[in-house]
Amino acid sequence: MGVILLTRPGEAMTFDRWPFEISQSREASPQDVVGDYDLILPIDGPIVPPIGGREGLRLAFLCTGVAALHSVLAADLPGDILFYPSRLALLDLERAARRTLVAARPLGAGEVLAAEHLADEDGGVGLDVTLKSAVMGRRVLYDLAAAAPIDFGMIEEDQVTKDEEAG
Amino acid sequence: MYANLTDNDPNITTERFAAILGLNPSKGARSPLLWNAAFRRAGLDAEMVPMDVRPENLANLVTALKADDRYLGGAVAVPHKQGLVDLLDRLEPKAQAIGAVNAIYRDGGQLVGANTDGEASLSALQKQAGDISGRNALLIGLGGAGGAVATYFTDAVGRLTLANRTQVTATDFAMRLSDQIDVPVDVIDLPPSADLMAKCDLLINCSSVGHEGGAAASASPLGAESEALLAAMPAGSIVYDIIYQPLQTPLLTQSAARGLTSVNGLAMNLDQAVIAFDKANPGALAMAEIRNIMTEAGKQG
Repeated sequence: MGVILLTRPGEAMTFDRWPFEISQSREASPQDVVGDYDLILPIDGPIVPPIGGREGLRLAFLCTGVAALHSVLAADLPGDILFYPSRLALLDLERAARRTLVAARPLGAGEVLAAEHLADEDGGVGLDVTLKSAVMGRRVLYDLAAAAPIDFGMIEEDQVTKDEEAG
Repeated sequence: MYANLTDNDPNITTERFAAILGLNPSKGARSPLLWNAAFRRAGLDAEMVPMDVRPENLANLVTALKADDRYLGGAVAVPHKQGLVDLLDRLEPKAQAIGAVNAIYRDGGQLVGANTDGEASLSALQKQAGDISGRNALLIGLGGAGGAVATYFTDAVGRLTLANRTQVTATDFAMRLSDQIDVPVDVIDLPPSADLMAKCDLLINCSSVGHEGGAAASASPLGAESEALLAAMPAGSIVYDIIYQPLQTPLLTQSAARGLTSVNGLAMNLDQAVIAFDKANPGALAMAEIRNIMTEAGKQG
């Protein structure tokens, strides 16, 4: 029992930052694993747990979306969970695994960004944290609340020069 | 699910969906054509659908979309650009400053409003007409996209003059702009005088006058003396009409006949869609690829 990740041919995946554990990864489609089970139930919609069944019945529950997978995990169903993520599900997971920049405190329009003005969060819609050095030294264009996502639309295009800072 | 909130049947059949919200986007809006080409190229089981919604149903529709995890975000058309400001969970600061939303995207459980009209209008014009810094601009129309365009052009031109059918709207907007930046912003009555036009070398129409199917489809935003006023503009002037239905409005027909650089809103529409798609579908495609796909799709539409 556990989440078995099914991948398409040549689809390399890094899942160590996904919000659930993968017990096994196989390059296979759901059709390829039909012989491993007595029954595979697609379960991306609402979940109705089975009332019961013959002992030894090999069941698998197949889902393609992240929300569905969380629901299946919470339902503690009697069988393997086959996760065959759609392209949209993969995008969701990639986004959730990013760390992104946010304002560490309220910032006023015109403030020049320094390291102490920037924090980061899991997921989010701001710039990737690897771009932190690219935003430092630029002026904020608007008043921003604490934890507001930081992206290039909220800061000036050019870094502030030493002369500007002095003047 | 949306049948009693919209005047059309959105018919959602995909894993996720985007939507363009307007009074009647099902009758020829261009965004679904552009977005759906990009969804197909990215291999995403998603589609943009038009949702014809009346202002009185907008709040309930937004509540339903927020609760629907399939909804990715999308585009907003008139007359809902201002109405959505108070209905979304959060606005990007740019949209907050402009007071209008033309794009929505999801941030977890929240719906965020953005405004990509201004950025797109400026970049599209600069690409087609070159540098506009130092120009003396007159912008007509502050409903819909006009506020966003004015916000971006204030920084980009030498001087900006605003004109609106309801003058108090222009005056309020000019005061807000002047608070934000140090560029002079004037307000005039419509129609402008020939003297003013003789000093104006960039005319921007953001009103709906000239829009296909509208009440003033065959008119010019400059009024009955439009040809004479265009004749007063200096040689080398630019006339920019953000309308793209039709591609050649009465204003642009007259300005082209006068020999002025005449630019329609097609490229702006493309640019705003590129930016909005990227916001609603981060990581799905590179920006350059979105632009190429949408450019090709636009040619076929």
